[in-house]
Formats: sequence, structure tokens, C-alpha cells
Amino acid sequence: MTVPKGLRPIALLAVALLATAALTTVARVLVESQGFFVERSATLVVLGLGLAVATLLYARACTRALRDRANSWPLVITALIVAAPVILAILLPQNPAP
Amino acid sequence: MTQTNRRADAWTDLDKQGAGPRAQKISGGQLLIAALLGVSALVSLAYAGVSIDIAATLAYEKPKQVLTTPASLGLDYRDVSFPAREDHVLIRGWFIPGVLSTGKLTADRAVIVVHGRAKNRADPQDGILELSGTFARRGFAVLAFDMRGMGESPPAPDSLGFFEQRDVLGAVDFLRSGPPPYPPLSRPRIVGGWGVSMGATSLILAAAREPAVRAVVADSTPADVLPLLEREIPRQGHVPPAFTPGALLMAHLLYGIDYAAVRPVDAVGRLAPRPLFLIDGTADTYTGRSSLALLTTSARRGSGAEVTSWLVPKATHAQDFRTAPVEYVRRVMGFFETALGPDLSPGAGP
Repeated sequence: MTVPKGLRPIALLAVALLATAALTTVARVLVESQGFFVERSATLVVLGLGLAVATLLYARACTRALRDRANSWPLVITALIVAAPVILAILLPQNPAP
Repeated sequence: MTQTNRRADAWTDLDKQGAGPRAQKISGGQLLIAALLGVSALVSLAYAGVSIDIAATLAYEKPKQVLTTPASLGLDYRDVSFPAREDHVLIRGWFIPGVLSTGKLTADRAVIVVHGRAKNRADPQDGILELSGTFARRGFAVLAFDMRGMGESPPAPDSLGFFEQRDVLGAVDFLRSGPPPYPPLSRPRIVGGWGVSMGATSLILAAAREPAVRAVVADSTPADVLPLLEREIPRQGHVPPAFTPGALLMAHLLYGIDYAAVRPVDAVGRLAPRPLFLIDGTADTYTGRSSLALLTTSARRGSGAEVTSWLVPKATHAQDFRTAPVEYVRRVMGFFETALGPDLSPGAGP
């Protein structure tokens, strides 16, 4: 399956984030028997590294896609998708206890 | 064709399309898009970072030392340890035999005592040891333990009952099939549970899965943990409410905690027909004033439900025993006497 060039950054980001989530879960399961502090350190390191790698891959893919004007709209959509979780977290109603 | 030539041709193609770096003139529109991409990425990354920090803070509380023992109340006891169910975290606690009116020790009826969040089995503020001592003097053996991550039990994420229910289930397993907790007394014949705040949450979730818990007293129990977190995360973390979903997601990712599954209001109906006594204070602003009503209504939906509730005047969160100690002891002991029946150990007498 080929992804349109303009959507490659978001596709790459999605794959990297999913892989990060999966690796974090695997790391947690692997080390949880060694105690809480080991578990916490391992998951934080894996999650942090995963986010860093995902950010770098995303930035690189965005820089490349920006070279082609035909990718303008897909990149605008990409920016909105990336910001969407934060926007949703602000807009979605919560039900705090009184 | 060599690799260098292929690369050069590729750049030439890009140049022809106007996409190569050498042919590129960055327009204002592209700059705007680049800024949009950068800002959205930075905002999301910052959101993730703050959420991770909140989740890490939320899931760890430095354990409080256990500073006293049942001996301070003149009671005999044994240090015990047992594995939690499922993940086998080693839980530490005390087994205090009940004292009959004849002075004889008994383990016929046992009550599992479950303390609240960031407390331990000897917590003076909630009167946990004092109440355990009262149970023992009324002839109920007590298994009081430190939940994971608290007291002398090993460090663990604080999951508000999601994992801690395994500790209660481990306590039940220990009483039913572990080594006799207080030789030469035999294992308890019947088991009940008393819990306060997060301890009550854990107890209800555990009892819903374990029919061996024959009666439950739940004091200051939230009906649902999520609304509490939606209120407390912004309040205690000094962050906007928008960070709550991110923090909950990160807690799930980092520790495997599903706070949305911690809903005593859903579990409480599965306790029927076992007797249930729900207690809360009129001044308990932590669990929310509607929690007791929600739990009582939900519990009564169970087939053959036997539910009692008591709203203690002027009592704040987890302070019902402290606020009305005489009435509290009368009601709770009366509940367990009825629910667990008389002590049937040899020599107990009428």
C-alpha cells in the first residue's frame, strides 16, 4: 500500500507512536517482576525514547514533504491531526466529582 | 548505473518538478504551514510531557512507616506475609487472633481490614489499628495488611483499587488455603471484610469476584474513581482539566492502570445476597455527597440484596469511626455478629 507523499509524515508518526506504545507495554510486562522502580524507569525510558524518535522521524518527513507545494493541504491536515488530541482534551466534557 | 549517478538523477528529477532544495523558493504559504506543523507538534509534545509527569506523580506515594503494633494495645499477633493474587506481590501484615469473653484466642471468624490510600495498617488518623483491636476484643480475628506500595509492602503503583483488589484477594487466599496464620489455631471458618476509602474500593472490587468474602463493611467509598480524578488532578497538580485525559492515558501506558475500570458502583451489585454495610459522612466532600446513595441504589439491585447504609453526621472523609466511635463500633460489630454468625470454635460457648 502506498501512502500519498503529503500524508507520509502523519502515517510515519502514527506508526512510530503505535510502536512506542507497544514497546512500552512490552517493557513493562518484561520488567514488572523486578519491582516498581525498575518498571517505572524502564517504561519512562522506552516511552521517552520512542517519543523522541517519533518526533525526529516526523520532523524529517515534514521537512521533505514541505519541498513540494502539492503537499500543502495534506500538511495542513497533518498539523490539525497532530494537534487534535490536545484540542479534544480541551473541548470534550468531563464529569468531575462535585 | 552507479549508485552516485542514480542519486544525481533523482535530484535532477526533483529539480525539474520544482521540488529539489536548489530549485526551491519557499513561499509565505509554505512558511505558514511549516509554522503550523511546528506549533502543533510542540503543543502535542508538551501535552504528552506534562501528562507523563502527572501520571508519574499520581501513581506513586512515598510509603508511610508502620510505627506501632497490636502489642501496644495489649494484643497478641503474628507478622504474616502472603502473595497477592495474579501478580504475586508480597503483601505484609498482621494476623491478630480474636479474644473470646473467656480470654481464649480464636480464629474462627476473621475480618480482613483494608486501609485507605497513602496510609497503612496502623494508620492513627483513620484509627485502623484501634478498630482492628476492637474487632479482636469482640472475638473476631483480624488480618490487617499494608496494601502494595504502602507501609511495609513492596513499592508499587498506586492504582486506587485497580491493582490493590489483588491484595485483598491474596488475603482471602491466605486465610483459606495458606499456612495457618496463627498456629495452633486453625484457619478461619468464615471471612468478612472492612475497608475505608480506597481500601473499601479495593474490598468491594475483590468481594465482587470472590464469594468467600461473606460480608462487607465499606466506609467512605467513592462510587466511581474517574470523577474524583477529574476533580483532583487539576486541583492537586495545578494544571488545567484538559491534562486529565492525557495523564490517565499515560498511567495506562506506563503502569497498566485502567482507572476507568475502578467503579465500585458497578461491582457492588454482585455482592448480593451477601450482607453489605455502606457508611459515609455527611461532611465527606472527597467522595462526593452522592456516592453513598449511588452505591446503595446499585447494591440493592442485586438479587436478594441485603444492604444497610449509615450517614454519619458531621463526619469528613474516612473519619466516621473517629467522629462517632461508640455508635460506629456498635453498628459495625453488630453487623458482623449477624452476618458472620457466632464463633463456633471449641470452647467458645454461648
